[in-house]
Amino acid sequence: MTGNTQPQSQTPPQTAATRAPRIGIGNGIGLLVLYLIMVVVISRLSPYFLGQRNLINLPVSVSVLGMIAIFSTMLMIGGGLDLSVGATTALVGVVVASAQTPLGVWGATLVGLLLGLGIGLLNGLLVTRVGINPLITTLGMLSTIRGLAFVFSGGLSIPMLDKDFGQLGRGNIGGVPIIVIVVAIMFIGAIIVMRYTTYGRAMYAIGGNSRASHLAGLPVKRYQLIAYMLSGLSAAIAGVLLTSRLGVAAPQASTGLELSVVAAIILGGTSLSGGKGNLFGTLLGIMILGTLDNAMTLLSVSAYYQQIGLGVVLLLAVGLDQLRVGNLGRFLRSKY
Amino acid sequence: MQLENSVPLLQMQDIEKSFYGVTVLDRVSLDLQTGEVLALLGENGAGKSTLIKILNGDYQKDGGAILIDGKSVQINRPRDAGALGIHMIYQEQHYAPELSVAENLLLGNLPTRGIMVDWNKAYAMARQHLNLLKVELDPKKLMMNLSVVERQIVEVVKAISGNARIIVMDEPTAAFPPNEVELLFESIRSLIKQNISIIYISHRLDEIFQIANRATVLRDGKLVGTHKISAVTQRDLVQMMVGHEVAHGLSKESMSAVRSDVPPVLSLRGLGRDGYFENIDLQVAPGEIVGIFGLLGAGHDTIINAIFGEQKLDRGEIRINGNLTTVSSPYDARNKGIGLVPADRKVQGLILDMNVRENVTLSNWNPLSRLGFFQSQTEKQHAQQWIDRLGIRMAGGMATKLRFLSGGNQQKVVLARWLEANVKVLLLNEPTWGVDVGARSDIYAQLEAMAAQGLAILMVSSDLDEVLSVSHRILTVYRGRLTGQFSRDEATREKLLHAAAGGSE
Amino acid sequence: MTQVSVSRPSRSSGIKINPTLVLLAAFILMCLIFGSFAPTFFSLDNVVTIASTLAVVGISAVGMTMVLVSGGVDLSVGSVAALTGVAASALWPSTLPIWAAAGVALLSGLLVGLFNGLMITRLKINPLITTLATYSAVRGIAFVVSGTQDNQLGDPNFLFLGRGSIMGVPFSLILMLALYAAFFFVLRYTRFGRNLYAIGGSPEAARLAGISINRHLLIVYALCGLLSALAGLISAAQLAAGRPQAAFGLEFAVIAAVVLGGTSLAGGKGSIWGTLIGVVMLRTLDNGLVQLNVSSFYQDVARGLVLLITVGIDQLRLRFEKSQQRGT
Repeated sequence: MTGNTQPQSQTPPQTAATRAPRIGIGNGIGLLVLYLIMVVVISRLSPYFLGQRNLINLPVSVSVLGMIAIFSTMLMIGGGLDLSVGATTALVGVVVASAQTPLGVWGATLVGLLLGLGIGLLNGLLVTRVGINPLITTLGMLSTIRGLAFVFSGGLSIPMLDKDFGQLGRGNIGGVPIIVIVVAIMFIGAIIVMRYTTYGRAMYAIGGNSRASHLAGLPVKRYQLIAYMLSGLSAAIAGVLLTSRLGVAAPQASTGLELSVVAAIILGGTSLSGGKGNLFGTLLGIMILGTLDNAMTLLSVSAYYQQIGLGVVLLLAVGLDQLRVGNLGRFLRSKY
Repeated sequence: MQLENSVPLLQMQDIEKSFYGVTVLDRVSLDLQTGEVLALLGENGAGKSTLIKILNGDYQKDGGAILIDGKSVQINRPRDAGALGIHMIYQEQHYAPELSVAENLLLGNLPTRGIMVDWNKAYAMARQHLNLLKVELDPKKLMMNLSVVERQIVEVVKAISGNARIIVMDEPTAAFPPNEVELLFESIRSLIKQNISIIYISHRLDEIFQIANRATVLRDGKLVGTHKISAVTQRDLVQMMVGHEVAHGLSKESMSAVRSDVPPVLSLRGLGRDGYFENIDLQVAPGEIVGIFGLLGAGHDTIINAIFGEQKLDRGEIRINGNLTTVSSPYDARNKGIGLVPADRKVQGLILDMNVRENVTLSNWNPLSRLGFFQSQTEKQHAQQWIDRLGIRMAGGMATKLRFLSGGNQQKVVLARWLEANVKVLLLNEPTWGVDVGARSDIYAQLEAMAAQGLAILMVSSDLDEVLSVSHRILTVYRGRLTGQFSRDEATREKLLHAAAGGSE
Repeated sequence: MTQVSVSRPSRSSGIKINPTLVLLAAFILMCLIFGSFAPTFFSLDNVVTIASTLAVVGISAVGMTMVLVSGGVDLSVGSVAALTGVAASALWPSTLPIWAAAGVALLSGLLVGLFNGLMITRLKINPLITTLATYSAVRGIAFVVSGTQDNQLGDPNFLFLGRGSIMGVPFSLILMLALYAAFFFVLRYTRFGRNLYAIGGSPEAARLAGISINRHLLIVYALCGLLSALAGLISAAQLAAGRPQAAFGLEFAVIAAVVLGGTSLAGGKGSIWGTLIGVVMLRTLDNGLVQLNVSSFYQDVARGLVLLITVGIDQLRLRFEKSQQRGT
């Protein structure tokens, strides 16, 4: 029995070259295979799935989740965590909608974005300066911010009046929805940042070993602060675009979004403890969750089965990857 | 000691092991007599830990036999080893910090009455165990409140309380202050009297000569030989481990490289921190290697941490090249041209999941990047330069993750990082802690070479041989105060130990 | 000799503050503030009201304390609580008598816990991911089983579980306190409990000592599921219905209370009494805000702030002590 609990880190020395190769994309081949199987099965079940309309709808439907997940991935690689993103999205929407009359819609948007940045800053300060665990910090902020969204809106949905503002979330350029273009630019930008810049390197270093990074002379807290601010900003942008698309700001918007974000990122192979992960994996994670959602809607499956489906897929995807590592044999042999 | 011709307590015969086709152990044998201390020696990667892990059932041998009392035994998992009376003590300590000494001693076997833990009995048993080694420790004390040495001794007590007949100690004194090593040795001597046998792994040869009866030396997965300690010298053992002669000590040229005509690079005056150190005055000239020798707890490591901005300073002046400065953080220190090689490289020095290139350039991004984007060719050249100069060896080129490098090569990477950052002052904390003999001499040679180019090096160490062999000048610290200063020629082991123990001259 | 001393313990002894006492002081201060603004706060009626709202969070928190001490986390407790209420109401009265229905409901919670435990110990899936998945799936199952509506659970004997009282003391509170006493005993005085601290504090030490980590963790997650199921039944009895959206966000409330009570998210550290104080504190806060006629919208805000402030102060205190002792 003891043999089963041996840490997997007991790798023999000098075997880097001889270890089983890992697939470059995200969590590995298990995830990609799972996704392809999903696509095949769903396209058999629903003729609309691969239709043109749906192929445009699908990326739009995951765009809010996607843009937040991109920045959360960077934050998590750096060893952080932000559970307040869903609530921030809602609060920013509510604030933009409430401020549209006095400030004009674009002034209100600016205020909303600054608010997101400010929330990120506060999260970052609480984590880096006060030293509260990120999970607890952003959990507390989640509750606080969601409460404020209800307070500002009086618990009611607020309609957006400006037509141009609606174009942001509903319009398209050359047939491609603006919102998808925004996410695509963010994604490509983030990949470049994580792969080629000092900021990206710093995230991997700090997430990998924050103490060693600190002693190597990196301004660790400053980098972390920026990561939290970017996370807050991305939630604010998502809030603005969501409000624009729906034409209305609701205080309960994006409830539970943080869990989908974390789920997509972990699915994509980013480690909760930081230092490992990449954005292609996150993209795959988002696509799996989004496609699942989309398929269930197409197949008229009730929303509640979708929740069950989310859980099952999450376990399947992570579990598959574990099994690939060779735990299947252990799993089958194990007994109590 | 037992008679030579009696059946050995333990025999490991022709042990073979390979990982993924790479042979790690090639027909290695050793034997252990009842009541003896057998030193197991070899450089990192020689196969010591694999051999030990096979003995403990962590790994399965591919070939060979293990005999206890002359009878062949099967060890498939750690529990089997435990049942045969084999107990491991690792250099990394594993303990439950929030539990008491007694609970850690009896972990998994707390005495119960009905379903309740019988605390009275537990404490009594713990005291009884502690008495075996005549250790004065309150069994109710929480592990987190003990010192490193006390924790290690609890580990030893745990081993004998588990009815161990063979105790394997893997670098047990790695984190010990020298004066407390003797405490462990006393424990070992009392174990031997109780007919318990010890396999002792250490890089510190002076310890081997103090405590071991025989030494088995491995090199590159092969047995080099087993010798009585009384029949060999330190030099012989080193030669067996490395396969060739290793030169230590500064060359004459290096001595003359110290520039006394220019102002010191680093100059400290009246440095003090409440409760740690007081009145620290010292200068390091360009090209000079200054060693600070002290017993652990003497505060010498705190001094360099404070210079590096990692710990606060209550009073005193730091001057770099004559300019008064303050260092508020390691980030600040780096910008001012100060680097620190920390004692615990895995925890404090390296990003184990990043590769060699990324670790080497970690503190020097500005010259290697433009507008925040890395110039990948430049970065590779810089990394390669240090890999060549320091002889950093790894399996898969500079894209190898640090996790897969040996301790010595890992330490070279940390050193390379600061040389790459082009610092003016290099602070070293126990620079060759857990580093094997071959890599150690590489590191010394590089330090010497860098000093010759004008780098000022301040090294803190509790390893006497290290301080004696690489420093131009040696200072001793006792209880946070400098107690002596010796030039290279006048320093001897006796003088240094005397001064570091608080004795006056 | 000089005044320089290197013996570290002696320096920290002067400023040692017991974290539980800090929490207690904060609690008393909070009560005094509420009491001075809301005259009804200290009334017997109100105290009984507070007492009757403790059990749902409190009982689930017992399981969560053990999970956190062992180094894990369980996000599925709220969903499990909802599922049990729904399951009981679906089976009663048509299929099973009330206690059998309740028994089956408890069993369902136990099964979810076992499932979590198996995923974590056997497939080595991170506890956060595992329980995030069951959090989502089990809530979905609750909606499906209930047909997305409240189902009546009107059996008077069953309602006693959530609404009854013995000599003025809510029955649910008595049950909860009995569980606290029992699990205080388990964590403090049994081998199983002590082993959990070892597993959370150093899995390697536990493994080397021959403790079966997998078996312990499996039991812990199963217990957490079972206790959350019990919390769900009490909640259903208070609502007199099985409601699929019941106990929404319970996991956050429970984790907040447990962490507030001094249990470390990193494992190996924590106590049942700390958790009790954390639970009482957060429930009292909710009640006090109601007493002050604060809009329910502000309650979320206050809950978040109290969590941040309490943990923040604790953190600053730790840092202060540390900086007095030695640099990091």
